[in-house]
Amino acid sequence: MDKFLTFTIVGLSTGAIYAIIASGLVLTYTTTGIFNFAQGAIGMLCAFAFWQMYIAWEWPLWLALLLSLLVLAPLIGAFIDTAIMRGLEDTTEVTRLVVSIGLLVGLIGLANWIWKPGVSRNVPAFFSGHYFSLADTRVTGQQLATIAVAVIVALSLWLFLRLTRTGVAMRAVVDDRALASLNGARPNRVSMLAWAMGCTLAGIGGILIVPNVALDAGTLSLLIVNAYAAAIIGRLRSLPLTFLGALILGCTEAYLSGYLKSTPNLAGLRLAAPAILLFIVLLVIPTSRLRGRRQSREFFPMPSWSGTFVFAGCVVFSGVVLATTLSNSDAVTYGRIFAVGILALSLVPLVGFAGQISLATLSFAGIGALVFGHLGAGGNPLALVLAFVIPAAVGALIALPALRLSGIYLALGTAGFAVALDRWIFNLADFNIGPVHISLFELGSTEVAPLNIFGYSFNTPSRQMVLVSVAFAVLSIAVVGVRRSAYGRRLLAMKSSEAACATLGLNLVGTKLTVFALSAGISGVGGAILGTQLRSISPQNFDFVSGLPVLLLTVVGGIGAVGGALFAGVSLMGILPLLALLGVFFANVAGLLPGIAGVGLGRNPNGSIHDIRDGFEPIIRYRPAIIWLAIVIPAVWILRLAGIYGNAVFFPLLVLSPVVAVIFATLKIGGVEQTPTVEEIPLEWKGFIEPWKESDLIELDAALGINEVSIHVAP
Amino acid sequence: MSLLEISEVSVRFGGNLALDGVTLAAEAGEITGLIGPNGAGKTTLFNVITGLQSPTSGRVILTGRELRKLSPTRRARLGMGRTFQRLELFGMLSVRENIRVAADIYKSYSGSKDDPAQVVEAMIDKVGLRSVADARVDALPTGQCRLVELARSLATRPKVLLLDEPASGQDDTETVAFALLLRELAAEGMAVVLVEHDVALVMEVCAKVHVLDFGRVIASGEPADIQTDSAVLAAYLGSGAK
Amino acid sequence: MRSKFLVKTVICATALSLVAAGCSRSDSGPENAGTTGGGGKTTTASGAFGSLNDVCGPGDAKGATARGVTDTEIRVGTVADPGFSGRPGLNQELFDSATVFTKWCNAAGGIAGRQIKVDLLDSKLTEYRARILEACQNDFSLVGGGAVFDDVGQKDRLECLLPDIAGFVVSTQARGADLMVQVVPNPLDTLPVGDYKWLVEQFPDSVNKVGALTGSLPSTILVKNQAIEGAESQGMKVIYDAQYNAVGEPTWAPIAQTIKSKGIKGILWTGEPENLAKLEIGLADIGYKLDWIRADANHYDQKLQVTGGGSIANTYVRSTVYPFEQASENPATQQYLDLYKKYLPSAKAKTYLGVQAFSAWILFARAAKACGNKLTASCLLDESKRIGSTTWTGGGLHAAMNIRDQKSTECFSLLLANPKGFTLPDIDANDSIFNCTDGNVLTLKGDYGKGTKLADVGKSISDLK
Repeated sequence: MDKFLTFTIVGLSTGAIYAIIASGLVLTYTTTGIFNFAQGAIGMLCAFAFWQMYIAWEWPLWLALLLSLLVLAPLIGAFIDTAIMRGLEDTTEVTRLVVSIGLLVGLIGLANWIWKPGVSRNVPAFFSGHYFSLADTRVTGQQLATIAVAVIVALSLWLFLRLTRTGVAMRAVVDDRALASLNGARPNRVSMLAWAMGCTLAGIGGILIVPNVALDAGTLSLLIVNAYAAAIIGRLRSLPLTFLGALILGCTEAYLSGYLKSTPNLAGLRLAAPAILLFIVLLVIPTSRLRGRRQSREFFPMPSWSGTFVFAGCVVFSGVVLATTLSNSDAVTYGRIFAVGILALSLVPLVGFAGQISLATLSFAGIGALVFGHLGAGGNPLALVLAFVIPAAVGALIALPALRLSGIYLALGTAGFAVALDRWIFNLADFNIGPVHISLFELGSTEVAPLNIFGYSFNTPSRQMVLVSVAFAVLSIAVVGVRRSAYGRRLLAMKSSEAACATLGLNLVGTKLTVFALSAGISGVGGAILGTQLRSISPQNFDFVSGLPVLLLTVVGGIGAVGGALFAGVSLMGILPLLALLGVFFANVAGLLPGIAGVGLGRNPNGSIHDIRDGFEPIIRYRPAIIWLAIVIPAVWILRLAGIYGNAVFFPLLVLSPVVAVIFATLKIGGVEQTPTVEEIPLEWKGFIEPWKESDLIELDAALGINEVSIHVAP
Repeated sequence: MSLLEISEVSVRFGGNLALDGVTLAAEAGEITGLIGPNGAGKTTLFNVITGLQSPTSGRVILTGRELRKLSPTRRARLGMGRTFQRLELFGMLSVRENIRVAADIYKSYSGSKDDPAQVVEAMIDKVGLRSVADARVDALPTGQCRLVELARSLATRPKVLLLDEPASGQDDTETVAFALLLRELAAEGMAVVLVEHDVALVMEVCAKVHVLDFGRVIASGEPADIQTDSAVLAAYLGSGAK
Repeated sequence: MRSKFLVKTVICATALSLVAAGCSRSDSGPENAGTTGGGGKTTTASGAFGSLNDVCGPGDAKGATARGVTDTEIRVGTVADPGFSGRPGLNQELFDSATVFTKWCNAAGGIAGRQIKVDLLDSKLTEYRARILEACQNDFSLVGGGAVFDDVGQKDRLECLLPDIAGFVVSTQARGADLMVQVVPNPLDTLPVGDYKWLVEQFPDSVNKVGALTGSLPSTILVKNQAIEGAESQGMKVIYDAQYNAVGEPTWAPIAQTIKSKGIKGILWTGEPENLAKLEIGLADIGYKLDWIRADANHYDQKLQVTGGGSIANTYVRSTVYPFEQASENPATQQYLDLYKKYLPSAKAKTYLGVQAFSAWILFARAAKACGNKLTASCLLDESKRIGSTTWTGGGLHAAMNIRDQKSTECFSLLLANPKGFTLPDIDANDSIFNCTDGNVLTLKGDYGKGTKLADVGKSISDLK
């Protein structure tokens, strides 16, 4: 009994930290509809600032706390709301999520820039030296303080939301944002306050946790994954339930630590417990009400077959050029462009067409790589098929509990799955499930044989470069095929309005399941091919965090088009490493860029690829430019192969020739054909001067600050 | 037996009764009207019928079968179709594609032998959208959008058709054509439930009209009777009738 | 819109081309730090180190006998991970020792008259394979390096027949790899257990209540498993086997409490200093004292004290290098520190990895010198093993290593960590400060994987020139 009591106390103090962080998360989500993936990162930033003031500059404790929590944190929150989130009113859920992920990545980059990693920074425990004996153990002053703060936070929030006017306004916005607007509440002021409070809560959590943990940007930002389960238990809506959930989570971790038999296979279970708990909760949450149409600015034009084949051709051509001109070591480094491109491609049908979110791309890639590594003896290409099928099956299984719920739950469910894999499953030694022997990373790394098709082995970096570019091209064509098919139409329809689809008799869960499986399968194939490039794979190649920039940059590039996937591959594995080579300053900038790009998504939710494509449009229309390119590029290449010059001359020439062609063509025949801009009709005359259009409604709503469209009216 | 029966349906949330013991029926081959002031609960009722919202109490019965726990998808497959007060079109797709999605879905679960492409063309002609068939729906005026939603719903061959303010945004000429269309649909054997603010239209085409106010049915009967019912006049009709 | 896009394109393209030009590497080699030229006739330093005379010095070795070898120069590569953005400066000491050694050696005349040119190959945690491929182009051998993810490059290294006189190795592929001489051998089939034996003798009450703790990384889990086998062979009973979150534990209270409630007396710890310090703080918080914690050599690091402060207690760090605290009593260590001060004063010299790397360089230099005009990969490897023999100490820098057989060393010493630093407990030393006894090495029974062999890449030892 003593033992139980002891661990309960331990669990409560951990749970207290989760509670504080999760409550900030729930507060911002319910008030603004945006799930803040960067919650932990904001807490991390406040913790760093606190360290800087209290330890490095030796300011008094009260001053450091005051400035971090009551000045810095709310300012960050207000800034995020006004500068970033406000502009996302008329974008899809995916875009908002990606923006918050961009914020997460960006804040980690920023913290690493300001406070160089690798240096030990410590904050001593609060009230250190003070203990209270309780049962069989001692509770430290720090732990008690944490619990006390959590209680105070809980009470304050409860009082605030029930008894103050602003608090009541906040709850009204939760219930029905449009209605609240019409009744005179000012949702914008409310959301700014919610963000400020949410960030302060994050800061409190961050500062409380920092004495226990090393002050490290990535670590701190991601500890919050543990708190997601608490927020889910609270249904992302109820603060009391969130607190309860956090306490349950903390206690579960403590009990697992204390009571679980210590066998090698179960050692990682405790670490994966938050993720597993998240899953279990997903199974029991009642099905969400169906979303109605969210007005959005996203628009992805239908890709043409001719354009797609040209694109695929260019990809293969560039693969061949790179394979024949790069040194082995560079081919290994830059071959990852297309491999990551395939991973990005897997997101296009799922996120771009169907509007669903997955954060487990790298996990499925890891499973695919494992499948190919273990089942593809000698590089058997049939194993590549299995590298599609098995991740697809796993994907379907994982997604099933979450698919009947709204998008954010799927995102969190996939995050939980990825984390459980990282912390537990991928670290297991071989084990048996019944008659089946499962071999994973074998406590280290696993070899992956190069692909061998009819005796031709893709075992050199240049052959692998060609292979991966061909694979990317083929998969791009397949994805375009999906887009142009009836199935693709259904996906787009489902993305537009699930409610309408349901009332037309569409099996929503079934459709989402198939696209999720498709996406997981493509990731698996990408992972398998990446595995052949790496030759030896370990869990670190496929961890959850590495997947975030892939999602980020694909959406920034244009999630609805295969070009966006190529954009992600080229940026992540081409441009950013090249930038980092220029020196430390540029390396830091490179670390920030994905985050900044993600955050700036609100300006251009369709992605950059369309602008890029528009830029190239003049070439397509101006015959001489095409002919010129068709001659110059191969010529430049052949001269390089003949050894007339080296890569230092070759690559600039290669990059400049299409640019020159674009400039020339644009000057000759003009830019993208613009429809003559109609004189802008004032808002109040819409519907009078010309017939009322549905898009006018979007504008009107945005101007009035009414943007939530739901089918239901109940809370 | 009525095709669609709603029996004592109530919806309560917070302290409010959005719907209070609503009972009505819709017959095959008839157009049933549902009118009432804003906030009366008409859309909520539609949500309950189609399964997008659960009632606190009461039953929805389609061709004698109670629909209690069935999902919207199941109900749709049993023959329920609907349009939405705030348009729920597939913004990124063209008119043709919007209807085609519905036709494809219908074919997948009904085992029908009809070619979806032909069904789409038939629907386009039926509602009169031939001239804008290839336009992206976001660019269309509201009146035509309503027709797209209707055509889309019709592509799934519903037995019961719930129309939520389908005529709003239409001018006088369009409304006349629309009334004719509604009559055609009813003649084909559908039970049409029409929620409308255009009271003249309702009175013209409906066999039976129900009036909803604050979640309760305050009057039911033939159009002529409703127009003179004092409770109705008091609650609503004063400034709306032509 | 049209002109705006044009401008953007031009700027982007120009920038891209410049970057592409500046960084295409097919012609230029990566950064290097050795001094070249200088003839080698006049020497500015003595080529003796510690107990070894003429490690470096003038000479007449000639012949372009292998890749990277010319009449006047030997070109080698050192791998490390300091460029990893998540942990800048990771294992920087490997590069530092390479720089210090080569500067000193070249000033003393080089290796039998040939100057050393070293390529500092930054694998940044994820680019090991790329660096190996570069080394395969230019370098005679890898010397004094090591990378966290060294599994991915072993096959490529063997394919190009590149020898490695390694500073340290991590993965199973590398630990058992061909064409490698580890200066502190860390093989897969033997384990030093002398320190476990000592702990059993010193703390007999703790024997049945031992716990094993490691981070959630497969590589450390493997090492922990080996430690358990080793400890149990000496009579310990491991009753608690747990993992902590390698990314970061939100609190160490559950683990500390579990240790207390199970009555654990000793902990086999496989991890890193900062987390160990956190654990010790957690134990101190609940007022629980362990008899001992045993940690690997990487915990000989001030980070332990900086993070843990007054909570550091009863922590024994296994070490095979001569401790810096007693440098004045050991000429080799003192000379090592002096050379650092002279050639790289801003670097952190007091690292065990720096010492190991330096020892690898000394072994390399002696072996290359012995090969003279016949400097080939196979000669290098043979001479390293012959010269290293079974008692290699790097001129006195560390305990005797069995280079010839590449087996774990019988020697060990322990450093006892306290809040201020490290002291040496009495371990029945019989060879300077080390305890070198037969029976200090266990032949492992478990299967811990196998290294990459020449046969795995379709080559054999006869391919080695």
